[in-house]
Amino acid sequence: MKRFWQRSKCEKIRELFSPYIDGQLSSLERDAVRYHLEVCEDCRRELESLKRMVGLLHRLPPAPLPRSFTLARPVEARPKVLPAFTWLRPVAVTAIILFLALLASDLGGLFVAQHGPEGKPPVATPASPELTLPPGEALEVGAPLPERGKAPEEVSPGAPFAAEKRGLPPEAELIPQGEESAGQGLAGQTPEVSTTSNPAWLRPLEVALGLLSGLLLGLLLVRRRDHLRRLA
Amino acid sequence: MAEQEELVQQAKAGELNSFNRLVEKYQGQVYNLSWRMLGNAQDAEDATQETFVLAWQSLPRFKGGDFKTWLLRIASNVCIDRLRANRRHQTVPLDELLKDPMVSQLESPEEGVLREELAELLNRCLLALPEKQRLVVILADVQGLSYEEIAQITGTSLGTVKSRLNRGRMNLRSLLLRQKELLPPEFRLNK
Repeated sequence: MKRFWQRSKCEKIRELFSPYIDGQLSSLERDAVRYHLEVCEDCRRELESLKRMVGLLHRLPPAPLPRSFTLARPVEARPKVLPAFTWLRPVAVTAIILFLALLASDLGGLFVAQHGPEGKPPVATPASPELTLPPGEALEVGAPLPERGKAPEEVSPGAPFAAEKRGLPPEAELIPQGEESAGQGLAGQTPEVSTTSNPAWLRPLEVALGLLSGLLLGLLLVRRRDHLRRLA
Repeated sequence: MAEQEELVQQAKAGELNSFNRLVEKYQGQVYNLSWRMLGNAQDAEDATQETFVLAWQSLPRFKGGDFKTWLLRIASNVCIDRLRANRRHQTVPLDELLKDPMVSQLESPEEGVLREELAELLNRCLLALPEKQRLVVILADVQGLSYEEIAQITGTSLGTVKSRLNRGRMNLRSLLLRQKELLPPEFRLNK
């Protein structure tokens, strides 16, 4: 029975048997194999057995050809539809995930309207005495928000722009009615409360993500339709 | 070799006759590789035809080099794709292969050629190897290609070819030793 280190040595040498048979070893490796073979009878037998088997494989007769494989006419290449789907698939999956994540969180209230208790559409209400919307002028959900600096003049001409004074984004001043009632007199509080749930930087990000996911989904549908037409 | 280069250039230009002369030259090698990789004549025939159709379609993208290596690379990929698509062919246990002997495609034995049943036994043991080891053993020991050619065909390094070939041969030897009673005395591996 061989000791552990001897077995390990044999295993290492046996890993070199195949290239040894084919003459693919460096002179150093070849000498190491030869030296080991002189002292290890097991490995000598192993090598002899391997050589015999390689000899058998060399003598395997070729299988006869059943027919000629020459082409009778030029074969046109298949339309390259599948590769487009190969890269489109992960993109589409990403788009769907983005879209679903956006709908699920809807941080800015862009897609899901936040209705008040009576089912009324959200109406911009004054968060502070300085900013007032004319009665009946509801802020449409999904409509582009008034640009910074322009909004106060459009909404309430002549009124001083309180949010600008405080250095806050104009969105901070536009709170839907539902939130107001739930928040128990938010109008009387400082507008910082509403900015935490609806930060200004999220809106353009959401719009961009929404547009991107919609665009990618549309692209996927168009490619799918083309693919089906070609198959037909 | 210069003649082959010329045929390849003509085939790239769309000359089907030139391509067919290349097909005639290499169809035996491609069919044999497919047959030993897939283990049956019908699959091998389909794989060989697919290889030449793909080669014709891909010829405009052939950037020179050894045409035979390029062709065998396509054949290897076709065979491996087929094996993966049809898992029943992959590493079939040897015992099952022996229970269900396949019809031999081999010609009657000639001088210096293995006996039919021994060749069949070797083929079955080859089919029991993992597909990557099988490919390297067939290319090296049955088709007689060099390590460099095998590395190009399999798209691997020389080191990978060496280790796969070593493991493939060792596994094949173990499989054959399990069937030693079927080997003729002059071919007993462990005498």
